[in-house]
Amino acid sequence: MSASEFFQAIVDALVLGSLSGMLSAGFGLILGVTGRFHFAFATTFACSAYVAIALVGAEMPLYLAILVGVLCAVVLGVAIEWLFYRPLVRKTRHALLGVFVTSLGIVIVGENVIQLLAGSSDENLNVGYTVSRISFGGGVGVTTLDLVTFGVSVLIIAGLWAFIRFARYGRAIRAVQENPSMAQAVGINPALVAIVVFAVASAISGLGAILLTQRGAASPSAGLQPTLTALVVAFLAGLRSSPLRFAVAAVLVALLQQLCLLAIGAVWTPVLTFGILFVYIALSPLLNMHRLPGMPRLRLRPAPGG
Amino acid sequence: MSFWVNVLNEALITVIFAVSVNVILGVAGQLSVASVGLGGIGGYFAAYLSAKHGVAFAPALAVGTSAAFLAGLALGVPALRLSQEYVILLTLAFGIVVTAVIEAIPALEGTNGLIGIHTVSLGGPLRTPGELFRLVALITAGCLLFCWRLSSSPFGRVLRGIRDDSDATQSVGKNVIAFKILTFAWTAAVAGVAGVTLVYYNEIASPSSFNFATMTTVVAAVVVGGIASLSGAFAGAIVLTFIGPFLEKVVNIAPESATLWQLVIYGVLLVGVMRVRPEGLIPEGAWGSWVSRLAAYHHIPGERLAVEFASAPVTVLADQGGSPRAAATAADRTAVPSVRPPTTNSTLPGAAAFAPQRSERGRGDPHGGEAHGPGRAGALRPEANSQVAAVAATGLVKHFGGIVAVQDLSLELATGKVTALVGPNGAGKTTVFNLLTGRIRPDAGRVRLHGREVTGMPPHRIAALGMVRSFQDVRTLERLSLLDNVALGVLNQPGERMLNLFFAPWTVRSGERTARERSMRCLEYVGLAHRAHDLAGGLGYGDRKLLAVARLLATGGDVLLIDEPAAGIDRANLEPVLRVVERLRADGKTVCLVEHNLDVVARLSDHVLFMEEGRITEEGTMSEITQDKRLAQVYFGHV
Repeated sequence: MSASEFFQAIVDALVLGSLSGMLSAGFGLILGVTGRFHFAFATTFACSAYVAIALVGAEMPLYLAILVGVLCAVVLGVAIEWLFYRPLVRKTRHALLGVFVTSLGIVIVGENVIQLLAGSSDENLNVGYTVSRISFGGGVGVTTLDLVTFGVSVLIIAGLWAFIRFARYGRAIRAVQENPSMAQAVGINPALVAIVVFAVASAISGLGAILLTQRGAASPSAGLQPTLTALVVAFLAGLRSSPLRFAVAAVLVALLQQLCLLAIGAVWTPVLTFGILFVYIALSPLLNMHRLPGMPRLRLRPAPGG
Repeated sequence: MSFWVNVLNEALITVIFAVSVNVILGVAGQLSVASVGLGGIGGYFAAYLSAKHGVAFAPALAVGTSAAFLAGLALGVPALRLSQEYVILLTLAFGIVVTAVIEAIPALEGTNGLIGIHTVSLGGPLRTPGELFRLVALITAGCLLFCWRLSSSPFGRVLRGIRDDSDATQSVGKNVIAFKILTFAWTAAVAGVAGVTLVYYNEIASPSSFNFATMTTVVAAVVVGGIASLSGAFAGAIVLTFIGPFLEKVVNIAPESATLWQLVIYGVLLVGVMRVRPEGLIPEGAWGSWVSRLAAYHHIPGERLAVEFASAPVTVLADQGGSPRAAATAADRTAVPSVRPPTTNSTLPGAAAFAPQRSERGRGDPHGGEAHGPGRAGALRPEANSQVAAVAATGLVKHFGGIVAVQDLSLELATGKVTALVGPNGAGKTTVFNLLTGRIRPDAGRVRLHGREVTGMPPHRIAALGMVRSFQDVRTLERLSLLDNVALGVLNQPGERMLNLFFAPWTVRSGERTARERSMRCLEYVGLAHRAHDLAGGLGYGDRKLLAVARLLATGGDVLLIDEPAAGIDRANLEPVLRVVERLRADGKTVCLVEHNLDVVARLSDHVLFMEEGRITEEGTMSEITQDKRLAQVYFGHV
């Protein structure tokens, strides 16, 4: 690994890590607030990308198409929570498996419906501006697309942080995250908070899908890998921590992945990513890590009536 | 024709995966989604040995299965101490790591798959789907039988207990950790068999056979069919596998889209079943319940129970021996009491009534192969001297962080007496129960049971030595019948050992009959025998308390710690509970109650310990305690 390769890896890690941090913040928001393993995050992801692609194909202006795509993701995400997860959690005592299985089912349906409608070949989404490369010298550089990706991701992460911290609904989200029963006692409606959380997170998944598709291509199963990575990041960062911490964890994971790519080869990066998660969870009881703020016990019971 | 045979073979291999998932997930309640990954480990070991070293099918199967078994064992250990949400994640990550590692190792040919697996020979090489069907069917039948035996035996009953309430199961003497690890390892072995069969059947080991999507398919089969019923898993796997070919051949959809439609239907079924019928199409116990009902009524004629129950052990057994059903094993039954006379009870006042368990304890294995129980029955009993304390705790200390829950506490529970532990909320009464029964370890101090040091022992060992406790929130297992709830408490059942299940079925049978008879007597004791086959979830709160006591009795324990017997029950339902406790005292049990209702304490207890702020500050009879002005003030906060 040469010096320029190393520095390029760091730059790439910052770009990809910020994007992954944004997605993780969305996925982690759902997991941390509602306790749902929402793998169908991958479905809202793919939905946004394919709607945008289809609309651009139908001569709609690019940015309008992207907006509609993201809105479709939001509608889908909220519908999943409202129609499937919530009734399930209300009905059964141990909803963990139910939500997990339901979300898997939605992932399968989504992936294959897209494939039936659009075919299995990769689809591209144009960028809307000319991508040029800015060199930092010594073979290290970024493209304008990288800068946009980084900029949008950082903006969204910062916006989410500010929303949770300062906005009225953001504070309600934090209250439910800390103590759902108490939150309800002071007049916060946990069902409504869950809807807001799903809307925000689905929008983030949709936006992430657009950015990732512009960097490469969309396939019906394109959402699964980012979702699983988001899961790893969310756990490493600690489920109820702030979006900023998600971002840092995501950049670190991305850096590890980039270095692994350079040093050992691409095939080992998933081993490393999920190996870290596996070892982390396996060791957590031995090290008593779940007592630390980073490893909170998940709440799977909804707040009463929630 | 061979098209459908091929589909059938694939369906049967999915069945193997499904029953493995069924046992670990549905029966034992461990949310593991690692089965397919474990199958990949087994499959790749076998494929590698066959393709690269020309190893024959049988040894390759053995190696593959063992590899999966060991991987399951290794996975079970960290999973033990994790809560279920983390078990899902751990096993999910495990599955992804397995496929990632397979793809990364060059010798395993990456995503292309490992080819060159030798054809299986079974009286000639098996090449066509039709020829291979015999092998696949044989292996599937073997795995089904194995899993059926595991889940429908006393072993399976313990697994269901762990699923529904791990703590309660441990509190009646089950080594929960051992059961969990064994289940992880053996279901992994079954998954390994499935993996090996799959690679041999396809003649290629490919990572895509063992990836996340395959796992989803298997989970779909299990969930749709019925998560806790073996027949459900079987039906689910068959039906789901046939959907695609059905669409392709019968509905005439192009093969590519047929696969997609098949997956869409999987997903819709998964979501729909979860939404409409979460227990699956064939719920737990759908077949078994009425079959076992019939069987049970045959074995234990109701009208005899009262007679058996009131008699001394020898009479009981002789009486049973006379019934035609039991005649076959009459030799086993009558032999034991003659070598073990009804020792202890006659020495205790009024102890004759609840005698059976003493003599039964040694009868679990009539062939005397395993030495369970007898050591205890002889040496540890209080025997003739009822002055000796059954339980003696000295200098117990327990801190939770900075909070001192129990502070230098010493107590004795007199043999054959009812001792009540009273005191204001937060005094540490339940913590004392937890300390005595090993649920939490004391920071300092010792607990002795019949003079034997039990400090630091896990709850199941202390339970096996004769001290059992009930819980404030009763913790009966709602999805099991009353009879199974109580039978869970019977110690040292031969059917809880895997070796017996497969190599000594006759021992298991007689052991199970003993356990059920004994459970019936315990239900009779508390007056619930008429509802033995109902699900515990349908009981009222008072009846659940009675059921919890019956479960304690089934362990044969002679020291019963009962947490708040009267709490939450209205007056009408209180009387039966109180009568049972009085009867326990009359039968010579050592009882310790935690109770807030002072009328109840006054009626039941011989001796009262008053506890405040983690210590026992006063003891005496109820009248002595109630006359103490200061205690009344502590307890009621006024006067």
